[in-house]
Amino acid sequence: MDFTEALKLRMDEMAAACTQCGKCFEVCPMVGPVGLANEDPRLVLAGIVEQLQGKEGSESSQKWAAACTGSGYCISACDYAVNPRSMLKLANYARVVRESGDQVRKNAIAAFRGMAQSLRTVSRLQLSSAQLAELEDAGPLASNKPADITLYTGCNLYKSPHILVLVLEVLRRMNATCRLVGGPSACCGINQFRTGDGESSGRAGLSTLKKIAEQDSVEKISWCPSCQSQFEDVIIPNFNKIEPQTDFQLEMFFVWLERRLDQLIPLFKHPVQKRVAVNERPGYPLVVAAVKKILSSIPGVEVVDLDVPRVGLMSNYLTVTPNFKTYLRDTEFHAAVEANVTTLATIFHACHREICEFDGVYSFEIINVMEIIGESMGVHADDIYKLLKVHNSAEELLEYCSDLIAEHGLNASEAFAILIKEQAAEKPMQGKILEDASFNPAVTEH
Amino acid sequence: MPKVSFIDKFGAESQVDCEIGATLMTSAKRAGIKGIEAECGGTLSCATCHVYIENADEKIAPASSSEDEMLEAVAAERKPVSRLACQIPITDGVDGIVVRIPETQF
Repeated sequence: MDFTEALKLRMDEMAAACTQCGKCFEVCPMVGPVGLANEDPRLVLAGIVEQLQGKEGSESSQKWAAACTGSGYCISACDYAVNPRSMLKLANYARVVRESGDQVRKNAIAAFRGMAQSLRTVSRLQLSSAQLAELEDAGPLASNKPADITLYTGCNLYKSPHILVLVLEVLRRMNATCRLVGGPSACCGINQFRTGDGESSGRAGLSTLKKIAEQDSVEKISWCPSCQSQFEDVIIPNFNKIEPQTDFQLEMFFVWLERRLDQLIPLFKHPVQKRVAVNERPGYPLVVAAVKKILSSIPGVEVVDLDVPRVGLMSNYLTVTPNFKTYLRDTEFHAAVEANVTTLATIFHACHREICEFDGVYSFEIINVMEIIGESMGVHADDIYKLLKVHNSAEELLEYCSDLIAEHGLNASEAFAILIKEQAAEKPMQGKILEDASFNPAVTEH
Repeated sequence: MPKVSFIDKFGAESQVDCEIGATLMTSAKRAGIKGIEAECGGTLSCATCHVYIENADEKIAPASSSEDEMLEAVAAERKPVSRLACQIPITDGVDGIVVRIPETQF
């Protein structure tokens, strides 16, 4: 069985398992923003099942699947353990395949190359070749033994490398040996999958899965929720169909870290006097819970819960509904002001890249969770991405990055254009904007 | 070890000893040859290891249909001698080939 055959089999299985009760639709926070609030949930699900069967589905089902931001509320709502988030991902894939026809390969190449070019430029504007080499490979092991951990970073964490620097330093202080797998050459296949190229997506994802497995570490952990979701929803289930005797699992970094809290707490030597709200994302609730528990264990840190709506796997998933995204962000900022927090702490890299520029605009700072953990251990890494983001002109950027531009042989104006495009988050994760102009987020129930 | 000549976009030539069993792409990367980006690491996702091999003759098997499809997407001009370096295994047969690196991969 090849990857696309395994995909087809899984789509058939999901179509058969879904009872079309519509509960997943009812709890979805994207229904209102894309103008589907008045649709019959059962009919929308009937369309989703049709899409999985290779048929057109309905306008509503197509829109709903395309608008999925990965919040995951549907997963616990399903009484039949179907995992509607996975189901929507596969249904949307089936639609893209139908609509794109023989263009899928070209679209996949363009999507992957766009990601790779953006990543190489943004990371090279921050790091020297030597620094990049260090982060792409955690260094030789002291012995030939496998490392304790293989950390799968995904691709875009390298755009905000201070987070990765801090992760590695925390692991080092925990005496955990670590091998890194990441960057575009260890892709989860998400870009290819979204453009309907199942074959390329499978080739990339399975190659990465094997790279991680080959490290032979007992613990396989991942940073990026987007990659984790692609592995859990697509790559690993397909791998299990192709090679049924194998068992491959990835655990998210913060969940792993929280399991080792006893080891971590003695390293929290410096009190950190901060009142912290967490920039929560609902897609992986165990990660949010783990982050809060870790932060609460740091002397001086007070974790404050904000009662605001939480949507999306990461902030960049919400580019399908820009007004809703802005509403969610502003609501969180105002709640943070009201709660008198000193700090809004991002968890994930893409969220950090999108909101870090508001650091200092309100009464609180915006930093990543790893910066707080690092501070309690006496470790610091400069957030260079944030510095780049506040440079508003090409001249400022050129001055700031001139040495790195020269070292990497970058074309300065091209690099600036790529950086601006990246910072503006011009590329919606899921495709075109789907927002309903009449939707008023202030009166949404979610 | 088979020897391969890489000629960069400025015309500078480098001789590289390539290990049997590697690919032309990994051999170039290991030797620090500039201009072969191979962003996807050889999984046929990016077409950024595009090269021109002018004296391949019978030394290298023709491109597969997947490689041929990817070659449609290369950034520099596609020529009859265009290949993706990640798809060319190093065998004794590649000894003496001359690999020209295109102007751009993006």
